[in-house]
Amino acid sequence: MEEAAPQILSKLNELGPSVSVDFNIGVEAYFDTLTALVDRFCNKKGLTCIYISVTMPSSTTISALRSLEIDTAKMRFVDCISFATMECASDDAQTVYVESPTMLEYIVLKMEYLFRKGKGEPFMVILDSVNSLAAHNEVRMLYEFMQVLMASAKSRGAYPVILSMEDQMKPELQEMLQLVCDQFVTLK
Amino acid sequence: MAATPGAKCCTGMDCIDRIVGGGFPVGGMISVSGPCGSGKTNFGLEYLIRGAMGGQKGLYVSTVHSPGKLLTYLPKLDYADGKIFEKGTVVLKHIDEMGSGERDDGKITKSEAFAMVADIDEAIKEQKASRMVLDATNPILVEMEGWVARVFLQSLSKVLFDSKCTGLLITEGDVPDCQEHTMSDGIIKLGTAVRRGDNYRVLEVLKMSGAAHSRAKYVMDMTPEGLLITPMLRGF
Repeated sequence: MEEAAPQILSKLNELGPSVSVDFNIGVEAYFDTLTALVDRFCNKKGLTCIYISVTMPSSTTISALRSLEIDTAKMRFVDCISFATMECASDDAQTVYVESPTMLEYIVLKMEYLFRKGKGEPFMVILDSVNSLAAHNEVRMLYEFMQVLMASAKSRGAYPVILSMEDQMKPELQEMLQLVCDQFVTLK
Repeated sequence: MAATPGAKCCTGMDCIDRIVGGGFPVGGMISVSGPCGSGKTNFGLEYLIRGAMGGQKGLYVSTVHSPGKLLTYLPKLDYADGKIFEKGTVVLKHIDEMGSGERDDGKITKSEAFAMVADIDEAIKEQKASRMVLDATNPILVEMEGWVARVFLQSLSKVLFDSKCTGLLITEGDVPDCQEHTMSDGIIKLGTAVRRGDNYRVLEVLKMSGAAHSRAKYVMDMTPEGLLITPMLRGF
């Protein structure tokens, strides 16, 4: 596989905001992708990053990014994992929690809350990952959710990015992503 | 001069204005009902605070908590001016300040019901209030005979209409055809929905006179940025 970062940056710069894009990646490209999105795109452009954590707790993502010396100050997390494990910190201003990844409407509402809190800041929204959400939800439900989430992010002029894992893709999930995303990019 | 037909009271709660057709009817009496913990009081407070931020004075009449106690319950609202209550833009009163407290065999008499409405009317005029919240109706209506309760609600509705003050009646419980609903110009129902074991706070607009309102069920969240709603997903 080629390095993921240049492909991601080139695609995002080409598409601009309000275009939903799915990056279909291999597990080995996960941190390279994260670095490209957060550090080399969001931080460089001064975007506030709303990071929807479904794969791992927000605290783990923050630790991983900090160990890579990436500035996480402009990141806001919608954490759908930590509540279930009772690991949510009540004094964490950077994170809002959703009780369960099955409560899809609350993911939309928490994103909306962060948009309002950001009062006109430019945003990127990253969903990490659609495969983890699919493990908790039926694809039909997920389809409806993704349509609302993407429409909401686009209407705010954000960059909506979905991460999907190449080796966890089921045909019905891929079909759904192709319907809800403006661009489906498999990183070579 | 009574409220103009078709005039809207824009609540300032974007999500609500969108689904009720632009706002509540000016001078209307809107019932906000739901079980304990469904967010009725917060809804009422946000309605008054948003109004105050837009220059509309408000009156909150509590039948349960004292104004002092209520102030300690106020949720943390990032959008609100913390001095709205100190400045008197929104005034908090207790129902015990209204009427004379007269009871007949433990029941509120018709004349006492009229006296309570007259005092609410006076408080609206004194405050020059464009918005009023009565939270909650049950504790006083339960003390009235059915016909007295109807007269009370009718008189209150007239006072609100005549003074162009748009009022919310907070109603505890989930009774579909209670008197408050019958007499109201609009009904907003708050409640809980369960899907796959998850509890959702939900909101529905059952009635809004003179408006083509949404009939969908919405999931809601009370946040420091105010009430937020999104359509409940169906998955089919």
